[in-house]
Amino acid sequence: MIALLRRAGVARMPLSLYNLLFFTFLVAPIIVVVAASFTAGNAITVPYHGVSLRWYRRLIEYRPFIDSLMTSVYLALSSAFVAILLAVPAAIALGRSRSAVAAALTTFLLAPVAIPALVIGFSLLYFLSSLGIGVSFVALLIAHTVISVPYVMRTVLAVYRNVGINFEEAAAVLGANRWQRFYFVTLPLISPGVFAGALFAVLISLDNLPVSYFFGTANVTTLPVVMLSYLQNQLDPAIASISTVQMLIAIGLLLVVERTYGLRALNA
Amino acid sequence: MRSSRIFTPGAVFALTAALSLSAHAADLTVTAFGGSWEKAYRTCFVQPFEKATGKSVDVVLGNPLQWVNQVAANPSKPPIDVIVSTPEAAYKAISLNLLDPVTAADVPNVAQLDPRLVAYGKGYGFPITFGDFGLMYNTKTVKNPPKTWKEFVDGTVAGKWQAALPGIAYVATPPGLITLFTKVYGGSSTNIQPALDQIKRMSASGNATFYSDPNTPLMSMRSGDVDIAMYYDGRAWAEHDANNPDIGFISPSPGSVAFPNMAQKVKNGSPLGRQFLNELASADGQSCFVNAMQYAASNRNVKYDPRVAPRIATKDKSIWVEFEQISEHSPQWIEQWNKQIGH
Repeated sequence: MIALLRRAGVARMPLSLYNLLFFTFLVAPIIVVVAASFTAGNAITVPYHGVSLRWYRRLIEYRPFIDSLMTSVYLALSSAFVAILLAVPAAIALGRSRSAVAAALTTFLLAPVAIPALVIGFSLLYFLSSLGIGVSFVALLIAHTVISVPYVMRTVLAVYRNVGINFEEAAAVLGANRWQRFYFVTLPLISPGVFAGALFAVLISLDNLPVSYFFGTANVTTLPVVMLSYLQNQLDPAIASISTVQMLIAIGLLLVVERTYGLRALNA
Repeated sequence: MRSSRIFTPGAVFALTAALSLSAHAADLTVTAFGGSWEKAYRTCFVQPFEKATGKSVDVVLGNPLQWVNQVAANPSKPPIDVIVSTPEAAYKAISLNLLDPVTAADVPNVAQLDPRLVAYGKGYGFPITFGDFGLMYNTKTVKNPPKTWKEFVDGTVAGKWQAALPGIAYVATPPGLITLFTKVYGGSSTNIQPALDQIKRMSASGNATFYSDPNTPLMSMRSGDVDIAMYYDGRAWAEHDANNPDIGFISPSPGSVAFPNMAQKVKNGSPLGRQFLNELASADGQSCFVNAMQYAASNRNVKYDPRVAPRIATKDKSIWVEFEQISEHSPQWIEQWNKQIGH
């Protein structure tokens, strides 16, 4: 009887139902926000009042939305790149070491994940100012790199530790110098981890508020800070439209990664 | 090569970002709250200033405590020249010695302002506008809105309406609710128990909910979950005009707490800041702004639109609290609230 049920696929039904409900629970709020962005009414209400693109036109009329969106995208990509430059060499240097110092350094580089982002932002504001780096894009870039490094480090470490040391040894035996071993052997092998970490770093940066909060200026403010300021003083569906645009950018990034590298390879 | 896929686009973006975002700084940097507030601020103050002086103005969006911290972190070369903020942040900036004094000698239009409001700035700025934190209500479900705060509390306990109150996480709660209730029910800044007892009565009745952001009462009113809410007059009228004509507003006796927007000049900031403060204190600028935002002005020569005039707060009927004193006691108040009420 059980064998019959298994063949019929009935045994999988509870799991499939669970997955469907879980997926619906995750996606339903996003669908509500996207639908609200197309309302013709003045307010976010359910049911919606007609369909209109007026709240997307509002994004263009309210200049801070577009300016801060551009800043957020640039910042996310730049901070992920700088995080790669710092985290990849660190992961390779520390990944196979068994010393207590290496373990401590690894923990240190991963620590920003465990510290409240508001504390990081507040502390960096005063620290960077004491170094003469006032509120600016450079300060924002440094702050976002600090929170991005753990994401790149974590994934690269995991991938690097799983890659056998044999490949590097074989390359060394065949005469490759240290740089050639890194560039032609190690880097391609760990690139899934680098891409996965960079993707996390970009998404974390795009969404970050507590760190960006302290570094906003007239010319350099991120989208979450502008959205918060807007929401505190005006509640209308423009927030739903800018949220939809932000989601589309994240989806766009995933598509770019899929085309250039393949998302499945990130799990390899 | 796959490695180049990592480095090439990243390098291009990092370089492009650094170059493109090193924009030319304006002659003056001022702060503003976002959304419709910013729009009115630019129209009524920034653009006339730029036209009159030929100088450019950058407007920073964000939050008052963010701005105060940015100035405190860079006091010798502040990134902001003029701060327009809330009273708590304004007094924080004064206590940290971040500001220049402001007098009618260097900002002539200050002489046109109500002297009692100017005194509120303690010599380091002045309110541009103020609004009351009274009661926003649904005119369809609350036919007889409470005329006094005690009537509001007793009516909530009796179940006459569903009420929304600001929770302890909301910035207006210590001055707008706790201090108000100590004035109505007795108590002081060191003894807020009479106020907490009334809030507990309302909470225990099951007819009161607590909110922690300014949009929740608006959404709750639209959905019918709430009939009456403690809220700002200007925002209530804006909601009435834009989305919900059933909304009314009342300031129960003995009055509602006034919340001013404070304008201040940052120490070591651009000298143009004083000229901009003069624009903020001007009758023309404030007339334009208060008619857009439906708040009361500090300039005595402001002209209100006939639609706006009956809606705005008046100095004599509002309750003016000592925000700096409230900030000192807030940590203890928050602890007491969390222990006794929890929301």
